[in-house]
Amino acid sequence: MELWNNLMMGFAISLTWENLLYCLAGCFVGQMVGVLPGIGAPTAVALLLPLTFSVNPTSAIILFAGIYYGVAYGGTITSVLINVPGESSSVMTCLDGYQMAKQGRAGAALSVAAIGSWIAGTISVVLLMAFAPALAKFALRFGPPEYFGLAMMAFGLLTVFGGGDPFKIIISTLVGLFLAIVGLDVVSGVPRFSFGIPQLLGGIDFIVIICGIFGLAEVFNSLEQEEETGLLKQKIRLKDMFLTWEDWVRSRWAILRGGVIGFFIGLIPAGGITTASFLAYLAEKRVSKHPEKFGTGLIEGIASPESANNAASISGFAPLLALGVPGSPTTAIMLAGFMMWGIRPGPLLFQNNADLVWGLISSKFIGNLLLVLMNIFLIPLFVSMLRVPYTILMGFIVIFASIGAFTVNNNLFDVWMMLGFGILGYIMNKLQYPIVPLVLALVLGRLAENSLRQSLMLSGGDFSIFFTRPITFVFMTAAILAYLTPVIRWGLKKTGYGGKGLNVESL
Amino acid sequence: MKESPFQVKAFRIVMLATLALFVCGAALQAAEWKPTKPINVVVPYAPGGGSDVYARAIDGIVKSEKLCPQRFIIENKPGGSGTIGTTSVAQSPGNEHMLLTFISGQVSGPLAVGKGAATYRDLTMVANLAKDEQFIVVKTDSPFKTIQDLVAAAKKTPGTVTIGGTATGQEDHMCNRLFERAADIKVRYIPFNSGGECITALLGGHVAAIWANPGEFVPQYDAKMVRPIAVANDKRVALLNAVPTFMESGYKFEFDFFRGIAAPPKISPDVVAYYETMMKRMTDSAAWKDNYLKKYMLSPLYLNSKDMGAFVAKNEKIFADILKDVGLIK
Repeated sequence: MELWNNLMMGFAISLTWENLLYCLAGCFVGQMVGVLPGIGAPTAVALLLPLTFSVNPTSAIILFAGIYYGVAYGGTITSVLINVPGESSSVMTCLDGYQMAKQGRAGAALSVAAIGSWIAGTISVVLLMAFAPALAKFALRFGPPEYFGLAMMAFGLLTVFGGGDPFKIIISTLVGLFLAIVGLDVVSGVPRFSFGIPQLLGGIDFIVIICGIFGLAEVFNSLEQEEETGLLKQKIRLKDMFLTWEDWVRSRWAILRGGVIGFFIGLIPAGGITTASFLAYLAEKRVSKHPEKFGTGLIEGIASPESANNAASISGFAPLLALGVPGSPTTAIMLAGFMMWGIRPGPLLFQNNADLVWGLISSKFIGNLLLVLMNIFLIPLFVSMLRVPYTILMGFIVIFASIGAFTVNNNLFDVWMMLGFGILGYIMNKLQYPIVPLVLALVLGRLAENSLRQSLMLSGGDFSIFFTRPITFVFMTAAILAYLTPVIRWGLKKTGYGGKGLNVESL
Repeated sequence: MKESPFQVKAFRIVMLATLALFVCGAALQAAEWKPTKPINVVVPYAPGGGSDVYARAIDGIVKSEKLCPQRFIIENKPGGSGTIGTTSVAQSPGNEHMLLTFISGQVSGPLAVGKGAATYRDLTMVANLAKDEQFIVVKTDSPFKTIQDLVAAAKKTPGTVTIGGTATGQEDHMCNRLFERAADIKVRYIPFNSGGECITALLGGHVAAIWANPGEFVPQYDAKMVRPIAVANDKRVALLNAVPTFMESGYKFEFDFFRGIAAPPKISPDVVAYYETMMKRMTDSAAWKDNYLKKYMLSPLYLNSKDMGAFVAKNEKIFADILKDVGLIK
């Protein structure tokens, strides 16, 4: 009952005209920022921070929260339409989303992303509202050993690419791990593979790599084909714009699964939205009856990561609100914002600033609704972009990817690097090396390496730290089982079980 | 037409007068140098970080106190642990409309990175404005009631007490090494990516203690989840007056985590004096004390251009010594 009263108090705050406007503005800015690859939520929030000196803190935080989850919606659009992920959390959406766009089903892809995000986002807000303090405490149990376990489990999921050439998967993973190494090493304080180039000291930015390896590589690939028409061969029918019943049936569980995975990964500081979308996609592929079809334009392949990234962007607030510790770069900046407005976010926030907390939580219901409506109505507009002849669209992709790479650090060097990664992506495509393992290794490589070394420093070099703590134990066991699947699969085939109607590939 | 002597004389007077006027004018102009276009404030770190907040606070207060006829344009040039932005300012000699946020990390960074990175010698020091104190913080239920308890535990079983901090070679790590030397102990230093990750690891009980600035732990301190046990400062900090310094606890060291302002090299003394005065007047304002120092829990430390130069030089020596000690400089 108290929860209900609190929520009603929250709505009384968030439904004032002023706060509704801030919420709408936040969602709109988030949507736009999400579309532009280089500018992420942290930059947008930081740039708007000084403008909020005179605004009351509740309105300001509603605005920023709107940006934060609005980005998760906006990032989808370019992923689906031009294969350039607008945000690192939308990388996985490129895989099936762009294929769907090529098949004339961009509208369905965008709507499942919006609807999935909305459902997962709303569930996420409910969970956050009911259990924020308990969830934040749970998140605290994640230390370096748990992070390492999580990363190992995620790498284990790569074995679902069983259909491809395992050798190529391993090479691709190693390239990703190598790229993650470049830059100043946190643990030893020594620069690695930076060749005395100051721009490389901070490492190679994820956005720079994906703009090249997805967007630019796609342009190089299409240069070889003689296409004069737009991406869309057939005329768009209104029916293709939206979800069919069959689409819905196929994606509803993916949305729920993605939402739950996203929610929990988002909670964990250093888990992050991008990791959440990766794990959701890989898990979906794992449970699917036809994993080999992922990457060819499967609607589940969009529903799952898009729901996950939105759920994660909301659960990421739990550590900030309940403990005053940032769980992501964006929430770290909001922490600075709170201080600017004279509020100390911390364990006492729920008591001292209940109006702010509940105003914020209730605004998330409203913001998510605004975003889903905004996106559904704009879909025909976005889709009609695909009628632009590909020869012209290509130019836009190059411009988009270049601006994206440039704005990360306001540095031209990054644009040249992006060009290099475009060539790498093109070569990998030609030689049929999968790109997903590379991108996954890039996202998780640094986390895996740092957490491994931190854990061993904590334990004084004793590896038992990974098996004596309950959470890590579960992760490591799951990881080891995942690594063993190919062997088990091979064993089953050998003994003839494969022929007796058992779907070996689904293991 | 031939010039009459009178005309010549008049001409000479006019010439002299004009010359005098020019000289006076130049002198006047020099004494009252004023920026004639917007001033670029380069922040060599990402938006939202400590330096960014600092620059934006300065911008806000200079504006509200009307201390500058021109506006500030804040430009984030992150990358290379601050070296990219810093070097870009060092490569704009004589630019009178450019400033740079300058913190201790920009002194220690180039030492570890080595060639190519600009040091304080390649810049003009304008003024130091504040400093951030380094505390050792433990969880409320920690067996370490005082810093002596921690040292005793570390002496009993060397290399088992875990202390978290930011990346190896950065402020927390250097401070930790100074502490180890002063107390003659060895701890397990665990480097994390950010201050936020440190406090999270402490709250989760993954490390026994952490190095942190007040801005990072005071909210949790208010909620009685953590408590600071010592501060690496020459005297106690007003805000947390109950916390003893390392010095008075018998461990002879202090550490300066400072925040200042620098300018490009080769700018005239008048320009430096102009910015110096502006910064002095800003740090004297109530807005600075309330909206920056108090809010972010920093201590005031104003030093003028000359004193800041000496201060930075002294710190560079200390940093170089520690970095050599931990093997980051050969």
